[in-house]
Amino acid sequence: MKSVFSIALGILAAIGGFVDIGDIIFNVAAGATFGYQLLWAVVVGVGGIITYAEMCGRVAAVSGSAVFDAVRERLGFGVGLIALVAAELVNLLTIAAEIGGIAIVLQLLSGLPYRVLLVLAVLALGLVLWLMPFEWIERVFGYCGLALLVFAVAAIKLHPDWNAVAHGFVPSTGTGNGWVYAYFVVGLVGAAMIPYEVYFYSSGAVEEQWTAKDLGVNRANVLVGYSLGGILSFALMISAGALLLPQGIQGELLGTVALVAEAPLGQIGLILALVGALAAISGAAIDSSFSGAYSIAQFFGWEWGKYRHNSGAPRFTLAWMVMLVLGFLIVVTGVDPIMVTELSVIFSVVALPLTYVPILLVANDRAYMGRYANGRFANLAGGFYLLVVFVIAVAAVPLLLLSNMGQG
Amino acid sequence: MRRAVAVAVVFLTGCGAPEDPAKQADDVHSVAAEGALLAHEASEDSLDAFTTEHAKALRKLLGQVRPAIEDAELARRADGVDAALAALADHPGDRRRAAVLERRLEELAG
Repeated sequence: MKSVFSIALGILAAIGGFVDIGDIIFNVAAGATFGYQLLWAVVVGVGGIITYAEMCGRVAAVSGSAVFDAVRERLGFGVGLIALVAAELVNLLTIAAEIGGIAIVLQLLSGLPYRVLLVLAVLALGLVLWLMPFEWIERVFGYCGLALLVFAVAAIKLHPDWNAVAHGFVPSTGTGNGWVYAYFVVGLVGAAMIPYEVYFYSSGAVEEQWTAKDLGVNRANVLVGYSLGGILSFALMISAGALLLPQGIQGELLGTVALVAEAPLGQIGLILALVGALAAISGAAIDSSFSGAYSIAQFFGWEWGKYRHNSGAPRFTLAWMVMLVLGFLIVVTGVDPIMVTELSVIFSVVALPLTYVPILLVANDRAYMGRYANGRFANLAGGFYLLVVFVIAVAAVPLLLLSNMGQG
Repeated sequence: MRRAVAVAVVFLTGCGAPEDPAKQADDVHSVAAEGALLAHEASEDSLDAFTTEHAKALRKLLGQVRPAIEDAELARRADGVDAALAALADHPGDRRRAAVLERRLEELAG
């Protein structure tokens, strides 16, 4: 039983980080637009996040340092500060999008006014962050998010063309609008490798006081958690490809996502989809709020960590509160959370190299990591994904403009 | 603030009501087809709040396209879709009406 709980960090990071509002929207929109053609891009993204989450979990376990310690140490104060500002801006957009997403899901469940639900959402998140121990946050949101597995059942019940699904795992240039296709590739890979996931994951490893003895748990976490996240992404895209594409439905709303589960499974499918989405998006809001606070505290050398209790790390506590309030203030202006989601993913892609370069450098440093430094395979995978990260970072904003934000 | 954010996003991405008639027709078709699916689920027992709120969200989506539509036939279809979604949002628990609206929306989707 203990081993089941010990992989909760990976499941939370996967459900609440990998499968957040950005992934839900991008995967369903990709399936509705291109069917199964972009499944390979999810594989690329999952491989990338597994590679780098394993590295930063290992660094945290061996050295007791989280990602932003490494960023500050390896990039220096000036470049590190740029990385911090970029990370915090993207975090803010992400938190705003997640709070908006929570309110939309609650509205679909209750019919209450959106703005009232925004207030309730941010108050509930604040209470959870204040009161709930770290391990219970992981368990409650991670395991409730497993309700999203309803999309795996939906995908099977929708009887997709499995031959076409299999072809989707082979990289291709795609059919249709090339700019839109490339935009979705960048969005899917970027959503999978969004930086706050590794900030949260490595800080969580320090929170759980991992040591070198926990490297097996680290591997199990990233493999089980992120693979599960990948399966959920496949399920969302396949379901959308099977149901929405043939009917010419574009799939731009969170309600559309729930409808994808309701069509083959009825009311129970709808409820599970909405509950799963609520848990996943709430988990992501918590991840990103904590990530913002972790990053700033680690960069400036403040006391940090949920395990210190709120009064034991007052500046850290204040930081996540400020992040939450600022996120709320952005979304309460009435800006569309789905649009904010897409922008946060695309802008986070631009900042990816600032996150992943220092991780690779530290994980390679034998003086720092001793015998736990990267081996040949980790370096090969890390180098390949660094190349991917640089390419999509350069391409992200031009593709946003050329594809008219994926609208063609 | 809200306007400033919207203007910034439109400036950055070129988003707004699509002016290409083919894209407008695709958008109207998409909303009608999704509305038909929603009405079908409502006719078979869905959550009333979900039916109402999602129908409203679809109307809002249609409302972003409608002002730019110049083609009379497409405008008539868009208005028909809007009226059917409004009826669905107002009577989410009326299964018989939902079945009628499903057929209407399917016709409008073309």
